[in-house]
Amino acid sequence: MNDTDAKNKTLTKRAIILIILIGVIMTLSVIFIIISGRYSSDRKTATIYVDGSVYMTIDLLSSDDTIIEVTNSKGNINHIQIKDHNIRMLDSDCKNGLCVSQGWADNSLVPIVCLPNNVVIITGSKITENGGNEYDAISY
Amino acid sequence: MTRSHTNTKRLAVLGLFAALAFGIYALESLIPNPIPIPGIKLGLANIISLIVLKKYGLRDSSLVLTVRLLLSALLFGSLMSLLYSAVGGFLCIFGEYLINRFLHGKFLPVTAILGAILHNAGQIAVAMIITGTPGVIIYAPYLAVAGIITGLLTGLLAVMVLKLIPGELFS
Repeated sequence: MNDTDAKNKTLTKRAIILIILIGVIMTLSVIFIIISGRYSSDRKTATIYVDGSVYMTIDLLSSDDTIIEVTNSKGNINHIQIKDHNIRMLDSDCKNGLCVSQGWADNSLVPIVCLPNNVVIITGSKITENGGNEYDAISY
Repeated sequence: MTRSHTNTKRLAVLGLFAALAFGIYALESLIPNPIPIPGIKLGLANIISLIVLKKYGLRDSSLVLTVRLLLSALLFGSLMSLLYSAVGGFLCIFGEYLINRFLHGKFLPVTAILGAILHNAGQIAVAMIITGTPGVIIYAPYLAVAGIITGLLTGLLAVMVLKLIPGELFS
């Protein structure tokens, strides 16, 4: 009897430790999401990556409204639209179309990613030599 | 005689669970995704993984997972989607195995939540490598929150389902 009680106590303790760990992950994630939402307004450049390398960098402040057609190495086609100094995935021939439903880039800090076609749009605040984004270094 | 009987039964039950996992996965893929972030989904098939893991252990649940992954890749996905779901799925099941042992099979929802977080972490890692874009890691907090919510849901469902399955099925 006492043995089972002691065992249950240990297990409850272990569960509480794990629940605290989950709580910490949850809190950090929510804090990060809130903070990233605040810094989302000053997007000035957009870099389009195709098959993992820089396809082109666009200065959103000076660019006119246009539609860019991007073809990856497998021949998949994505259309990227620039309008009112904002950028979005207009359409994609990928199956799930999640990149299109992500909408305009200024809605969040999250890059627009089309995983099936390997097309990524990252917006940043300044143009740098490696193609304009907020990361210190990107290696390929 | 008895031994071969239990083995046959075990095989039949595991086959049943593999079919169930695949059926659940197929049904879930029909539900439109309301959240426009790749990688976020309910992961209802994890209910089966949890049940098989708890009742039969790591080896059999890995087998059921492998069957489900191969079937769904053959029928719905591509080699690429197989890579994503395999890395996520096996990371999830190994993590759940360790945590389930640590908790002696109790508090299944806790196991499920941590498993879901690991699953999503695995998918982000694959996405970072495949797209060659470290920036994909910005998804991590979103996927962590999603994993906690969906993991809690699948964990609670697994507990409920386990209560409904007659015990002699596993004997």
